Amino acid sequence: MNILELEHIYKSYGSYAANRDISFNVPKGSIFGMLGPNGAGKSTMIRIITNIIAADSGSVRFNGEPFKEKHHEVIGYMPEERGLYKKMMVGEHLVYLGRLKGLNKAEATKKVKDWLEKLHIADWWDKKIEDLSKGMQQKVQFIATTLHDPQLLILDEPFSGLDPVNSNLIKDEIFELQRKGTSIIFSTHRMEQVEEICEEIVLINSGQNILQGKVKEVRQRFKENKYQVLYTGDNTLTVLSGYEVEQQGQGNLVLKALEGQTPNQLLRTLLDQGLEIHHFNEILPSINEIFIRQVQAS
Amino acid sequence: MNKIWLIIQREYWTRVRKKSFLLTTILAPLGMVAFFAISILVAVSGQTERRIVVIDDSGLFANKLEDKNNLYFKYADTSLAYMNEVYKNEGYDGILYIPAPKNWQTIRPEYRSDSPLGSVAKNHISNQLEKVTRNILIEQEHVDKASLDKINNIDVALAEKIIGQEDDKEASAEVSMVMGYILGFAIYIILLVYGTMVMKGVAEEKTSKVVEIIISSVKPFQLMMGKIVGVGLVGLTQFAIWGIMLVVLQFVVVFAFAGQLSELQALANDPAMAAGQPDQAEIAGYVAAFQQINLVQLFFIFTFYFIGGYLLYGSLYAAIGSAAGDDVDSNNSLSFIVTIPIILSITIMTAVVRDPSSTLATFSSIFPLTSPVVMPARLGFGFDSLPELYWQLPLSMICLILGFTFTTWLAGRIYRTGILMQGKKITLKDMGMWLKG
Repeated sequence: MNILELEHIYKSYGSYAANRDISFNVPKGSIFGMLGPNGAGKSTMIRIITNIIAADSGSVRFNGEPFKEKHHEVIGYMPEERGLYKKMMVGEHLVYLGRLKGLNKAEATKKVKDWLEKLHIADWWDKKIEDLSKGMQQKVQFIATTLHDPQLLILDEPFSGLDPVNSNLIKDEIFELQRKGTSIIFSTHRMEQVEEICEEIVLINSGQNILQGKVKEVRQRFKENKYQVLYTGDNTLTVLSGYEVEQQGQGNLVLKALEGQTPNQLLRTLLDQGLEIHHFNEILPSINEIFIRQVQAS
Repeated sequence: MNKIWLIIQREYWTRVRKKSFLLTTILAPLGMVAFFAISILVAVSGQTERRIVVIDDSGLFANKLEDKNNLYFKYADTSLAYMNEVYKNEGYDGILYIPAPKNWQTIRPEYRSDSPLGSVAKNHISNQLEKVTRNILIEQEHVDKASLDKINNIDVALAEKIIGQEDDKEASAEVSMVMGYILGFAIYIILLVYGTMVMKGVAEEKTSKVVEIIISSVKPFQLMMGKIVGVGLVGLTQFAIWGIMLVVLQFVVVFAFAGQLSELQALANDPAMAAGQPDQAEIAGYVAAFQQINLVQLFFIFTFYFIGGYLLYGSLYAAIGSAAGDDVDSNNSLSFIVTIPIILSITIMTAVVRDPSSTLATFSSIFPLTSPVVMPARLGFGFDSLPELYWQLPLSMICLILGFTFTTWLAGRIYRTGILMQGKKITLKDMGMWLKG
């Protein structure tokens, strides 16, 4: 079951095409990564999903039905370009944003109080937004995004400007929300976060999706049959047929298996040579490497 | 609808509870009162005292100048050259030198001093000299003083009566003109002040980047309208407070300064002091003319043009605000496009109050960009003086409704794209593109 289905989305600004035929599905309850270099068309895509702007053509389906006004209230969106009303107090600001999402005053007030407590900032209620640091404001924005218990949470570069401690705090909250069943779209160009957080990704470049799938599968798909072995024993290895040695020395060996070789065969060959194997692993490309490779290729 | 209401509330409350709102609301009228009080004080207290030595070559002016208005005259029978040297040491502020006149139609006296006389004292001296010369001439020409007084006291007052008006009541064009001017000017100020407030609000929302968070919950049009209405209510609140304050202040002034007021009245009745000021009968005429104006009717029509004009210009200002670049201050090179028709309206209005039935008056009070300022000004004259208003007013109102419907639609289209454009400076050409898209 998908919470979001996008089909053949086109969007252009004058002669500039921001999205050219983008299609992908976001499974319900997943953390879905939307990746792409700067200017790839991610933000435009998100604005289409949140119905802030309309696509020139193509369809957006939410929970299987075409996007309607009411869906605003079940989506939480934290834009990359985000700010708050500087002169307002944290408490009233959050209550205001909650009410714009359809909560009544009492509900909104209660939820804001709960969230402030959860993030250990209960005493911020009467603080003016302009007196908060950028990172502190980001926490407030995160609360604003999740206040109304959205079914779909869209986070555009949620960690930019946050210190490691607060990054982790927000990250934990994201996982917590997912456990409770919230679907999350996570847009970024920071690949290490993607690997850590997302189950599934789509890679957008120049307004097109060039890659899509589960993180594990994608890494498998782009693997180059490389293995790393840590060993002790005779340093002078007999030449192994069917393998290319990429790196060797100090008991560390990196091999690339040629067509038709399995890891078991490799391990057996190494053992036959009388080596003592301490560590053996297949080297999978990082999402970062795949990203760079694919973007350069496309 | 519910969400627009939330936005209106926020826009309203965040402005009304600001310290600057309280300050301007309270200080502006106090400032006005202080301004008038000071002007009155200056008028009452008069000028600095001056001791003037008079050198009169003909001897005919001797001892005829009266000491008044803080001017004290003393005659000296010395040469001008000598007095030039010593007047300071003898305690005089200046020398009034009256050469023997070549003929009695042209008197060319001189005031000599090291400090300027000022226009008020100058007038006082000239008036006195003229009076003395007049008396000299009356004597020389053997004119009968009584006959002359008769001739001098001819009084002509042109009364204007509108045919067909009940009781042929007298319409005072001057009162209507002032009334119209005040109404037009009030709308002009409202459009400019609160329009700019809308523009600044939109630009701030955009540059602070809160806008994308908001429009993920509401439509851009709702946000824009919420802001325009919210700011408009702030304006109404401010006007209401001023209205109440004015009434209160009036009472305070009447009770606290009752004594000084009668002094002022006396001053106004002093013919030397108040040349050209209305006499009692004329004042009564003004009051009567003022009472003829249908204030209730005027109030409703004024409110209509206030709201209509504000919606029209407020939405245009919102569109301009949405085109703001990252730097809030530099964005407003575009705002002149909206400001110019407002300033033009006040210029036209000034001409219209002088001739309220001209073609310019008719056109500009129907055209929606100028009608909010010009029409209320014309209405000050009333339907009786301008019967063509019976058809022009409804036409003008319809045009204004169409006008602001169109500008809000137009602004909505520019706004929804403009607020999402970050960074680059926006040109008119860009806006044209957004209209299409």
